[in-house]
Amino acid sequence: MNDAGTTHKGGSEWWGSFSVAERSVTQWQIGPLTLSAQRLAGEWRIGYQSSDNPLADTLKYASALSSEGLEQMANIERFAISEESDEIRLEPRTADRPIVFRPDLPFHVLPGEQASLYVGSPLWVAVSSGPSPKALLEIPSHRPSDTWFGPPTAEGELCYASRTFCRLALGEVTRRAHRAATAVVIRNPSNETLPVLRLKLPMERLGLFMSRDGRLWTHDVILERGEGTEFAQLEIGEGAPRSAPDAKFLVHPRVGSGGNRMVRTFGSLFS
Amino acid sequence: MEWLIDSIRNMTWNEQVQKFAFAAVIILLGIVASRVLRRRLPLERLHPQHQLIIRRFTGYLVLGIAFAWALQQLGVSLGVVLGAAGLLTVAIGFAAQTSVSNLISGLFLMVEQPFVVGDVIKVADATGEVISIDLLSVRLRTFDNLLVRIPNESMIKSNVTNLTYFPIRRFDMQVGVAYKEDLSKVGKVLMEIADNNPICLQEPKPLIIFSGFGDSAINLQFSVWAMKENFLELRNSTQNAVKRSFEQHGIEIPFPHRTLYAGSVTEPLPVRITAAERSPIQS
Repeated sequence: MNDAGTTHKGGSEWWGSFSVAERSVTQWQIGPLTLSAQRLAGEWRIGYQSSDNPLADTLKYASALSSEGLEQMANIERFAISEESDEIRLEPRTADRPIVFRPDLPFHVLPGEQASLYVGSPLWVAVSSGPSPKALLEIPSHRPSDTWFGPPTAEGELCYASRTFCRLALGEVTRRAHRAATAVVIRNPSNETLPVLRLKLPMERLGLFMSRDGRLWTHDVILERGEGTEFAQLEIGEGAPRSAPDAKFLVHPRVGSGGNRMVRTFGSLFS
Repeated sequence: MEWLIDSIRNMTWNEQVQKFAFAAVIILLGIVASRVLRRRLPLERLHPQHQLIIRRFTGYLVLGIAFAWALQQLGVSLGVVLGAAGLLTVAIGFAAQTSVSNLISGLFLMVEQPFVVGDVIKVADATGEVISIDLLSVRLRTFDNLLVRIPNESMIKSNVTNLTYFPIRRFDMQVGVAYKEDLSKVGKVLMEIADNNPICLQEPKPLIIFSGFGDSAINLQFSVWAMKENFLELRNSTQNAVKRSFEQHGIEIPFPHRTLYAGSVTEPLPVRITAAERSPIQS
């Protein structure tokens, strides 16, 4: 990859509007995702592929490349467009369905306690074109595995699966340009220890923020265990995350938060 | 039929023509209205199965009303028609027992709903997508694009497997490994395969079941889950990945071995090594 353009806008900001000269190829490397765009007469060609390493931390931007870089991509798609704009826009998005986090080690919240932990999730890249942006496609920076969240195999919900270290200190959370951190507060007002075997978070209901240090955040999530059930009261924080109060709002959630509600979120399922 | 003939006899010629024409127009309009209603009913939000039932029912209802109205115009009493229809039904029922049995079975299928339009089902040798559930038969489109018509009576009597009833499905792959292989290593490699395939569900967890000591291999069952729409892709990708991964890790998938044993009391079989014959190309 030609590094002539290097990282766009400095820091870890890979999103925004980019101008792509006709016939030339512009390429971004956002963590494990390599994304190329070529402007041709009446169409955009978008190529993309992901490496096997979900934690790859590369961030590169290069413009005015030859079309060879695009042709070698694993996936190439063409989009017909009548507008003569050479502008392409990238935007970070949260996952399009819930993510079920499995703690790396068994994690318990003792009776009457609350735990504030951080989990990281991969971001999707939304590509659009033109001054009145027309959506071209959305690609995950890394496609997480599918998983099923529900007690029987007959009912439940399709989610993505992810492992988490359930970090309790922000300093231990590695900053990666293609991932967003979510601060989760788990309250256990009951008289029993709460084993957190799985934690389902509604990523599609969370917006994105960027803190001063360039880290991407989602809305905070507060979960309060219901008495004697696996259900929990889910509350999505309003405004910037508490750990980064000066964070700038970036992207709206995919769907409305739906207010506070009881959800099945801690699973001791299939075990 | 006498009541129909009597009522027609009592009319003058002009009246007869007028009433027959009016009745014909009513029936024609009924047919048109029935077709338009069946097509135009705004049922897009409903399940295709429910759409089909409501469209059919509405169509038959409109046709029935039009027919009854047309008869009324001809001066026929509806009570008499209904009585005659009842008698006719009994007569037809005796004459067409199979059709009636299919009809009743069709009603049971519609009420019980073991499958709906759009489901993929397996009945005896036929596997395909249900394209319609009619009063007499169920029609399937097989994956090689053939139409299979199965009488409803057969559907009620046979074992029907609905492959798309539940949202997730399990693929059971039978795999054999050589006796010399370390089974814990084999298990680790298989779990890695499931872990690296994004369409393979992490939960329910993949399973490895020891099936037994085979003639030539230790037989294992590797069971992985996927969404029903990803099932075929999972099946292909898993088998490819197992072969590729076993080759990479030097795990042997053995072919059937035969050991020739001549018995303990007999002499070993004599083996003679001869020079290779010259092939015609070499000569």
